[in-house]
Amino acid sequence: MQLTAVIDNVTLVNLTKLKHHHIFNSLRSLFSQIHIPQEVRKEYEVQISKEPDRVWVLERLRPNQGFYSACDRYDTIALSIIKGIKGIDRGEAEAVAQYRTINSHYILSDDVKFKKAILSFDSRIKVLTTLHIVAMLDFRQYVVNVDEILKSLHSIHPFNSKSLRTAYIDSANELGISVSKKVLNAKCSFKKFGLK
Amino acid sequence: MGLPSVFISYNPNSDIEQTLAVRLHTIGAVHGFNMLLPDRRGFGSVVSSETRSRILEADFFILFSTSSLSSTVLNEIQIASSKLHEKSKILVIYDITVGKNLAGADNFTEVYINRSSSIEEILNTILTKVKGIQSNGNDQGGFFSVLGPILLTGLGLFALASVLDEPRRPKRRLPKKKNAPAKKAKKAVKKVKANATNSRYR
Repeated sequence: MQLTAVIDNVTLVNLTKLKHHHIFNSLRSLFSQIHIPQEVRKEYEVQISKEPDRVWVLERLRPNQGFYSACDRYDTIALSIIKGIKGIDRGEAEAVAQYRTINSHYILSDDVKFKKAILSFDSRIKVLTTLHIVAMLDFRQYVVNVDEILKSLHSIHPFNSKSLRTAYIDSANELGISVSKKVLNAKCSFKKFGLK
Repeated sequence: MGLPSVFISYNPNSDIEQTLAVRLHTIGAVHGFNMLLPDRRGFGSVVSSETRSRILEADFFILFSTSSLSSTVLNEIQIASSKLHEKSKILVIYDITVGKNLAGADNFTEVYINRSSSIEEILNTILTKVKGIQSNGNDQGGFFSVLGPILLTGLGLFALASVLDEPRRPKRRLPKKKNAPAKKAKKAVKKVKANATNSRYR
């Protein structure tokens, strides 16, 4: 089974803002397909006039196929149940319902409330943030400008050192690789990035 | 029938092999293979039960043996060879400058690469080897026909990783003799500062 992910609006927006770091090219090295639910697409399209880079993704969207798949397959029963969970908006509910229907591997979301809410509903769901994506790319040396990417991300979607550390630890654990404290400290040092 | 499971082993102390194994794992997974890596978290030289079950689950075993082999890797290949008896199912990639650093590995498929060669040269070496195995009819289970292209991509990345690795090598420490005067100088500065402070309070 190929590695796929369903993406939420906030993460898609964050990745779009990192487009100049060639992040979209790197995504193809991590996943075979990224599904964008209908509601997420609608939310994403709203700010298109303010952020022309969003056109780039929308132009590549293909209905239920291609790398950026505009997916309309949902588990309707799951959707109605998930919609009722506090802390989950409509787009996120569609992402989860879709994740279940297409047996995707991950949900890509930067919404902390959503992550907390969905994991209390089903702890087996794997939610990755943009920080996880950066950490995954870094471990594979697919990106050489990690510092710049993290700086850019911090300016558009602030995060703390702990979140970054968690992302690196999660990614290392998933690969079963051992990362020394020294290496981890160096990778997550806000001082190194010139961040506070 | 789904695509086969492939276990990739690497030396725990080799950053370059680890990066390559992780990349190959991802490339394979993206293409639908069930790629498996060893669980190296906190087990030292012991092969964890999780790693053992992953090896036994795998249809193929790939080992990057480009540096001196750790006991962990030796244990892993022993487990693999106890299950996978066909020559084409265990592939060991050696660095030609290091040579065959795995004793008693005659029943495995060997590939030698030269990391100082260009990516194209490395790919040609592997491709020739893979084609040779296919034409001899030793490709049992279609290993190379299915995994070949992915393996080649991985090896391309290996060459790339070795290039990327060059500037990342730790700088050599200066000999102690050269450091000694610096330490002395620091001590001297401290002494001067201390004397100056003391003289202010006198």
